[in-house]
Amino acid sequence: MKISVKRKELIHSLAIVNGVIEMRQVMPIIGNILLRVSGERLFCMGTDSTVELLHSVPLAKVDAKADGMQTTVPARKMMDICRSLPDDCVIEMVPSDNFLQIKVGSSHFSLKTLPAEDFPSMPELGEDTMTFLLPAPQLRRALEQTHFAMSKDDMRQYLKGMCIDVRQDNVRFVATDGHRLACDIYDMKSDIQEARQVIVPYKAINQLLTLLQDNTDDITFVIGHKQIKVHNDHFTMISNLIEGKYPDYEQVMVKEGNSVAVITTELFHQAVRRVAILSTEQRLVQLNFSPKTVHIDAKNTEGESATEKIDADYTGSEIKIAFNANYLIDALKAIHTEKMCITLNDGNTRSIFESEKPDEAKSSQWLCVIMPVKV
Amino acid sequence: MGMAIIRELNQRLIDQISAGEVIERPSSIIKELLENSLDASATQIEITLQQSGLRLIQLRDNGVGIAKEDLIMALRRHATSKISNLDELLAIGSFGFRGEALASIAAVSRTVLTSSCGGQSGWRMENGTITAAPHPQGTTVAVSDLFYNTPARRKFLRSERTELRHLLQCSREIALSCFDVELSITHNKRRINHLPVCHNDADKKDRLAAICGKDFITHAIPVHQENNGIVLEGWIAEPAYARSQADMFYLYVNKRSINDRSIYHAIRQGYRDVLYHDRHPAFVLHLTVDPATVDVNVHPTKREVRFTAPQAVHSFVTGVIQHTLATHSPRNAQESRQIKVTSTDSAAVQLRHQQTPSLPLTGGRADSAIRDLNLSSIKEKSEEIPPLGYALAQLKNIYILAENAEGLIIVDMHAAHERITYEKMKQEFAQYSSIASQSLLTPITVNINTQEYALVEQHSALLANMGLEIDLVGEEQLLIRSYPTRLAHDKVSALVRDLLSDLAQYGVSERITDHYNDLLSSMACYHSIRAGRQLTLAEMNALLREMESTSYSGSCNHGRPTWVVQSITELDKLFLRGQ
Repeated sequence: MKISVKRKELIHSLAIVNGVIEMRQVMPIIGNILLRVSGERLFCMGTDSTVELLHSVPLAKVDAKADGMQTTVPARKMMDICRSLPDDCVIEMVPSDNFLQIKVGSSHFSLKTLPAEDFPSMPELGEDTMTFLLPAPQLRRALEQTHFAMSKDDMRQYLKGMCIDVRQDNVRFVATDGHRLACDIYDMKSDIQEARQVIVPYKAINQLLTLLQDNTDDITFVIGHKQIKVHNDHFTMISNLIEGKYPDYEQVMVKEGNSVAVITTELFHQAVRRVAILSTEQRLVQLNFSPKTVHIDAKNTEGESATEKIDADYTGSEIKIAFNANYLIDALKAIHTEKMCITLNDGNTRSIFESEKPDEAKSSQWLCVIMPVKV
Repeated sequence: MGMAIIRELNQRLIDQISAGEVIERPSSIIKELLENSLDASATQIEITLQQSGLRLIQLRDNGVGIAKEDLIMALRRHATSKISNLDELLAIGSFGFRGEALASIAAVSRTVLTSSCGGQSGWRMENGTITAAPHPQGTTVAVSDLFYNTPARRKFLRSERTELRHLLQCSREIALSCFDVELSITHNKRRINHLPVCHNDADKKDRLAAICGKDFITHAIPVHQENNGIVLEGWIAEPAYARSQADMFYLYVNKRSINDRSIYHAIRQGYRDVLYHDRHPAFVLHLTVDPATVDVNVHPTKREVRFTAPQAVHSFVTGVIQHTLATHSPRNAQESRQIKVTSTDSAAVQLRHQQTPSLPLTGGRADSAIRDLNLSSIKEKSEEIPPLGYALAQLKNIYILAENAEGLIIVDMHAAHERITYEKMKQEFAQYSSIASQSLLTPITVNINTQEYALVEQHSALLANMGLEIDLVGEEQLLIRSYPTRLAHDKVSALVRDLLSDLAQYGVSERITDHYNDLLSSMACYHSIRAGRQLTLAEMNALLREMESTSYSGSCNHGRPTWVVQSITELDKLFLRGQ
């Protein structure tokens, strides 16, 4: 009974699954990775009790006797061993009582196992689920353009995740930390009859972003009331949902003002980055909009300052507004068109950042709302 | 059991009950009797104890004394010579005023009063009868068999040793409020304490040393400030001398020893960001205010007071402490240490005088090293050696060793640089920063109670100035719409609550400034040189000079000391030189 896998393929799988496993554990088995042979593939599974990830690799040599075999080994050690082995080797694993023997050439490792039956797996999603399909590149882009606005340290749990709002003809990805909000609306044709809004935890979204780096297939979303399952042929991720009601985000997406500035995205982005070097720890930069130009200023507590002037297509009245430079940079990085627009009202109310024209490469709309800093 | 009938208590029982409020244990008696003596302008007080005061507490003073006709009144409840109408109560200058002390004592013990006044022969009052008894000018009160008639109270007394400790603590407290009085205590025929009259500062320091220990006086910084009729004077200990428990502080308002939370808080505020972790400052402070602006009749034991303008007193005290600590430079420290040497130890003074001429820069191996390195700069004004002296070398790349007029200076270079960076940052921060506040897309909701509601309403302008935009929703919730950008998001609601509780208790709140200072402090730590960094002598000297000109340079932002001195005298002791 032997399990053979190419090191190159196994390391990839282990790296992904290790992403959800917490290194410090009260229950040792949760720090373990579950290995299961099924048909011609080896499945690796990891969990932190809120997110569960299953990823598979093809076997290098199929051993019929090994089919159905499963065990768990310490995740970190397993990965460190694989990482240290030569790139193109084949790893052979043989389970024996309470140990997994790993053989590669003249190297031999014996890892302690825990019974696979004790490995906690997430409950099934249950009845009343909602299923839809999204192409991987578009999903990846939607997440990349919004994930930065999720809160990492808020007392309000519902902000520590991304809201996935499914409607009849579109799905919206919304993230906010109370200071700014990013929303991507993806139009899709589906046979969904009802609308459903769920909040997916921060960690699951980041994990999904990693998984999407090298996936081009369609991704299936199955949304239940307590869990969400995202999968395709290569992986399955199940995550608990955050309970609670997401804030009424549509209300803050309504444009308050009518002063619109059109600016070259890259110029603006680079200028903000440069000026922010001399801002305070709080990264405060001031934008002064006047006809045809925007001035970007920053000063720090040591009395140093920076200023930059860029051209803008702007005809509104003079507006002075201050922002956290990091928020600006996050929003500008998410814009992929040559020009972008900012819709302003005054220096004290929210402003809205968008691509100049709806991005034609994908049938979606995106915007980012940023609250100013009052100086 | 039959129905109890309501009837009036007899006078004796009433006296015993109310005596319970004032007389808790032997130390309460000492307190009352000492205060009576002070109110009688005594300059010499002798206390005699037996069995920790349980058998006998006798106090003899040379005060004005009590006339024969007043002796009988003296033991009556609410009989006093100290005030006679309400106006006088509102402007009390004496310790006592209720007329309860002697009556209470007499109710729970056998009390004998002997007194003589105005050069007449003395009279004794015992068991309600007055007999002639010779007595010098003044009064003697002998209290024996304490609680003989209230066995319940007697049961609650602790061991004799504990009671003696309380007695001594109480007399110490009072001794630090009357430097012009001689005080001696005898216990079981052994004299255990004698504090002579203090004629000058040196004498006062001797008394302080006797009560708070020599260590305290070595680290004490004198305080004396006056503003708008409020005077704060006394001694505060350097931050490095802070205690792990709040067990060494003596606080007086108009000479009355009190235990007031708000003033203690003000003092701590003055010490903030120089005190190590949860340590407590040590101090002996006298606050003198117009008696009309303070109410001492708040509590039976008179340990608490109320001011008519608590905020003004609070900020005055904080300001004075802050100023004193900020201006306490190495130079001052050196001076105060020298005063101490001359005052407490005359042998040391002698030794010092013999050695002083040879100390600064003549002879000795260490000196020649300095001469080579720094002489050019020193020579010009060789009399003027800076307080922290000149660097000799670096030890393990952690400490700087320097020599000054006194001896060896050891500087923790990271701690010292951290403080310098921190103070610079605070200055720049105050100069260049404005309050910027981040507006919120979704406001933060905080549940509040009715008291907090009233506070938000009352202080809305103050809160707005701090960069907090707060809306009240009904009486139970508030919405934070924007907050200062420097605050961490997850701490805002807790901070607002703490802020409101400060406002409720003290009328002022430094929470937000404290929070900024915390941030600056961790930045300063990050931007300062670390242990392990090698410095040239020029760099070390530059650091020493910076320390001399920086406020609070005696301790780092976390309250650890930045430098210590090993005087030549101390070093000599190590080598048994000149002994």
